[in-house]
Amino acid sequence: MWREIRDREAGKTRPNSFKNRVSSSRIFDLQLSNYKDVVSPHRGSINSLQVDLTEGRYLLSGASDASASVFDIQHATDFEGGGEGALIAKHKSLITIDKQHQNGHKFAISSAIWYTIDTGLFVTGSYDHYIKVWDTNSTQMVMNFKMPGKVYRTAMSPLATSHMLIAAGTEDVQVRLCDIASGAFAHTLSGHRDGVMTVEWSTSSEWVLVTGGCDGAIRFWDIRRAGCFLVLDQSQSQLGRRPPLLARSAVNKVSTSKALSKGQNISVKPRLPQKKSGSGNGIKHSPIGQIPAKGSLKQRLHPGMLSSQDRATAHYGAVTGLKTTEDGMYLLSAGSDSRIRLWDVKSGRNTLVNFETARLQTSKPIQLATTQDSNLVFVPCMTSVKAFDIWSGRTRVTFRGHYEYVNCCWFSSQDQELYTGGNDRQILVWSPARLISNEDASPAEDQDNWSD
Amino acid sequence: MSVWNYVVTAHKPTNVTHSCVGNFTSPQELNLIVAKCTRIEINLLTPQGLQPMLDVPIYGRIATLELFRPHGEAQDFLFIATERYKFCVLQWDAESSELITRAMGDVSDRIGRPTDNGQIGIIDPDCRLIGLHLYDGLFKVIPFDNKGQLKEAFNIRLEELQVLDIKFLYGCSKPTIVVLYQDNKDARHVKTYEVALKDKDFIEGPWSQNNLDNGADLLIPVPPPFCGVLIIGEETIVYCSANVFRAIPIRPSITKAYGRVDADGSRYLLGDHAGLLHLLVITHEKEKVTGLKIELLGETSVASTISYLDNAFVFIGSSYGDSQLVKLNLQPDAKGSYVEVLDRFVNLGPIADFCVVDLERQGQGQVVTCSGAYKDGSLRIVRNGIGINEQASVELQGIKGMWSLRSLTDDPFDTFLVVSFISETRILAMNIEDELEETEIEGFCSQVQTLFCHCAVFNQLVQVTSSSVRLVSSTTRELRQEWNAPSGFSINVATANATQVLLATGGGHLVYLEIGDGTLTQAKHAQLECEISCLDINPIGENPSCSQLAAEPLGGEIIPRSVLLCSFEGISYLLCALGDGHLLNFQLNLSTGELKDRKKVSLGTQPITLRTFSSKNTTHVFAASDRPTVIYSSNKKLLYSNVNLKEVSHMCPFNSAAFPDSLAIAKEGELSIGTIDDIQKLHIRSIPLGEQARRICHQEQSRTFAICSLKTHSNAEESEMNFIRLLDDQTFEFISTYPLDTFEYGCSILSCSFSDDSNVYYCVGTAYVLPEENEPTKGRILVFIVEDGKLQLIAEKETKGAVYSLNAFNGKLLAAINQKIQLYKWMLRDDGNTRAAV
Repeated sequence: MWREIRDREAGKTRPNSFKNRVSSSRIFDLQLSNYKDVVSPHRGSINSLQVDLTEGRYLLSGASDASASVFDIQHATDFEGGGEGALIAKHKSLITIDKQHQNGHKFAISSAIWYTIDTGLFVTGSYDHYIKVWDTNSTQMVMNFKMPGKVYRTAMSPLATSHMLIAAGTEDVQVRLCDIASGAFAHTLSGHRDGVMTVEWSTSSEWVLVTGGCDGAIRFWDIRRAGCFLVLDQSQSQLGRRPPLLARSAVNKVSTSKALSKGQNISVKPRLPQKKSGSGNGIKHSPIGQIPAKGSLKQRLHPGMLSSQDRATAHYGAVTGLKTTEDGMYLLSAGSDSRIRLWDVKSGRNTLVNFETARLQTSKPIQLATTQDSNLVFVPCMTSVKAFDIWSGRTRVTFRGHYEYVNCCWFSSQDQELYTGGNDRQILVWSPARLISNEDASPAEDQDNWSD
Repeated sequence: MSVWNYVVTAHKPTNVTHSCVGNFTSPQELNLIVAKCTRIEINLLTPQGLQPMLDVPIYGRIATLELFRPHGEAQDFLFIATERYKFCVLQWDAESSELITRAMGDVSDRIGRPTDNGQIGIIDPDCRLIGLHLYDGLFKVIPFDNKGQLKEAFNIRLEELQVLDIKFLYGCSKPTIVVLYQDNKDARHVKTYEVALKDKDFIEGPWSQNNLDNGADLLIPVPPPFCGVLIIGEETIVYCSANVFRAIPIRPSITKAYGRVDADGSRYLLGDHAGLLHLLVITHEKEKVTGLKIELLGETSVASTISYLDNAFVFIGSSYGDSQLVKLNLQPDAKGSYVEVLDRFVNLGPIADFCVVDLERQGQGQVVTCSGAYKDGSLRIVRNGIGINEQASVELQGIKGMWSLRSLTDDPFDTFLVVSFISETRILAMNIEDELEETEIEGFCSQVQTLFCHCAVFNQLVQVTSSSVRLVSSTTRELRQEWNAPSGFSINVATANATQVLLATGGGHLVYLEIGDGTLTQAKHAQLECEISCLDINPIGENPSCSQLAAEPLGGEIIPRSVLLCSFEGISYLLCALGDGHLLNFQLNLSTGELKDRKKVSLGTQPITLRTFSSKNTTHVFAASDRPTVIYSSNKKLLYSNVNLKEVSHMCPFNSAAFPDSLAIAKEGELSIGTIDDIQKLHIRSIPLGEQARRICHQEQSRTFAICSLKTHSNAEESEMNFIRLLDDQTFEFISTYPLDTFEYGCSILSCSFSDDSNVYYCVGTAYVLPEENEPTKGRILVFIVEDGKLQLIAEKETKGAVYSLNAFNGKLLAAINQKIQLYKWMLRDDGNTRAAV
């Protein structure tokens, strides 16, 4: 930190990379906050957490007791002396909507999200088959959508400027897009063969929606067109995507170990016409992998995709969580097979990063979070939350604090704070360690330290 | 009245970030183009040196500066990309000597993470495309069409996570990039990719190379016939191509910049982080690379860019110190260095700290900056205003007036300098040895004070004394006619030009004389209601002898001391200086004689004398007072610029053969002759320290500066030493040094005094920076007193963190320590001085 400030002072590091370094060093310091506490009013497990995208100030939570609450995480409602001079800021909920509310949900709220443009609206999805849109200021319901089954997850595009669609994943096989502007269903997207656990909008295009179903498939939809345009296949890897120069005509002929040449340290390696293909045989190199550009991709696969590709799966079992990185180039998915997979969005291939997950919850959708610089992903792993290095899959930090299963996490990149919610009805705040030195040693003592 | 602040840039950026050499302005001319943050400077290489041609501001910090030559063009185009993701292609227009924008555009993407290692912009050597690496994971391609126009850009996915450098390879049938990258195990590799423009994708390139030097940071593509790439690491340099691999070990150093010497790419200059310049030679047999050799040439500023100009001349652009123009000699000098510094270009950056002081107590602040970094650290004294380069001076007391005279009316140079004292007038002249010597003009009356002197037509001189006006021939130096003031009246003020004399006698009498060949005729006489305090007759415009009549009540009690009619940029002004240092100016309508646009400014506190002079063919007005000022006009606005002199009582232009375009300036007890600097320029004086100053503060009472500085030893293990140094504020010499402990860094410095103690102390806040600690947990506050030019440690107090900032607060000391602010009180204890935390 000190060295970074000095390098910045001397103009050695750019402001941008200085900022990134400081924030990433703060992220590695995350621990259970010793100065911030969210007082959970929920009496059921917490299923969804989100901080608003405009101000980064209001935390919205949805819980199994059919209640949703909003907290101000910037300004505490009151403080509590924690002894040794350290004050703990208590953040109590500003508004709570529960069963007692005239329009409240009847069953568990599985998803609570903010309207992306401002904090005037928020959306809750519940197991009582309803998606409700609420006015934050009046805490009144302004709109509701009756879904064909339990709502697992709702999502709104963070980029959208030309549509106001809520994508909803439900028990039903169809994904529905609910239009706030008209109050009706805009689209139904058919393709999944089982309920849809998780939905996520692309962070690079406002028209692209990603859904993950209980059938283990992750589907990409361009909502302007019919049908899905990409189904992720866990067996498609990046290797061999770009055929080597000399071997473009004779791809995948011989499969020689690349490790042999890797072992040699500094030595020139003219690339020979031998290249280990990703999946071992050529047949599996189906068109998806070799699509060079977006335009041709859609034309070739749209709308009637070959049924063999259509059956591709991303996970064995249900896809329980999806998260696109902030730069929109990668997608992370969590499955009930206890795997996290990292996908390259453009090529639609599995990057084969092996995340060291032990076990993941299988029955419920889980909510992942990434850091802004796309270096870490926070994954609820049973009772703990683990931060994995996205590129190596190694566990960097394990956050243990919940007494029961963790369902959701949200990372606020503005303050470098992590919020987690679990079945133990707690919302925990993880923040960069703040030095609370016990400087309450009496000043009289200090006087003796003087040298004259 | 609302107060508006405005911000202007006093000094253009000086930090050289990029440079390139090519035939930009004409196919025959060689240009050096230098990027300084937000400006580009185009220089022409001439046998006399670098000749600046154009200085252009760019809206945004320059991230990439490249010259390229599309097919069929005779001269180079300039490609610039800014950190705001804008780019442009510029061409030189020889007719208007200006730049033409050939193409421009925006290359930003809505999403994407900006690269950590800075933006990379490269141009294919065969001009097939421009490649940009702006966001992690994306390589943006701007292709050229056959006519050299830019086509629509597209992105290619680049899987490498941490790209350190990308370069185009030479001599490839398809554009090929070589990428130096770091994987997630922190190992570094290079990889090549062919750019398939049709498919808008990469194809794996001809070769790759894994597991390089862990400090490999820079790629140098080698032009034909070798067509490989040099990979510069911290401990090795590797030459690599499809079938050749050569490596040599080097002394550990971080290479910051390179410059290619030969067109065939067999020699390169490498500049490292310690400012050492090396020559890297690729030895070869015909077209086959056989090895590498490296040789130390010498030391320069820490280079951020190196451009080999021609004939062993090299431009070293630096971000941390002065940029240099160096010559590489064939033979080493006495110190074994092949580098000879020919020219230095001042660089103020990076400014870590500064303080504003008034060293000469002129009421004009100077900025003393902690500039530079590492070994190029320095203090720079930046002052505003106009400098006078003193060329000669004589001690003379009590000067009351000065005028320069010519021996002939059409003589281009002044010969005589008439200096008037309270009871005598002396005449100085330039003798053959170009020295000022006292002479006599027989016709002048030298026993009395001269009120005014001027050259007149027909080779005559006019002298006005309190009793008479004398017309003297300048050739024979004899009196030709004398006009005596009416008895009972003495001349109080007088003024004259070549043909007219205007004088005022007591009682408000105004007399106007005309000068003929040996005659003085009283043409007019007028009596005004009030006493006349000052006069001016200066021909302006087309209508010099028009008798102007205008009255403007000045108001107030202050007597005007000097009036002046003059014209700037075709506008006539009447300037009127008052006795209290204020200056009124009016615009004068020549045809009606009306005065309008009255403005009042304060120049000083003493009476002002106004005089015109010309410098570089433009007219300026010198206002002599306790804060001498030059008044000039720019964009039809009057501007005032301070002169870096203390009190000036009189000034007159003195354009002699030995001192062309000079001014004679009468100061307190001294007459000096000097030339004037460019108007409106900052003056920068450098005090090289050889170490990096981080904090500075000035103490008025002891007339010293104290700095926190950091000395880096650039031997194998990077060791650093921190000092508190005391400098004299006039000579800027180190007077005293207090070394800090190892790992202890000075963070803040303050000169202050405490309540109940009249002494002034230097307070220094420090931090112990231990390598294993993320944030300092220990620091000190040191209190020094300056005694006999020595820093004496009076008290010290340990803190629980780095003392980032110190400030005086109600006689106490306020310290920012890590995340806390603490107030310290200064207490006297029985055994001496003590402080206690409150």
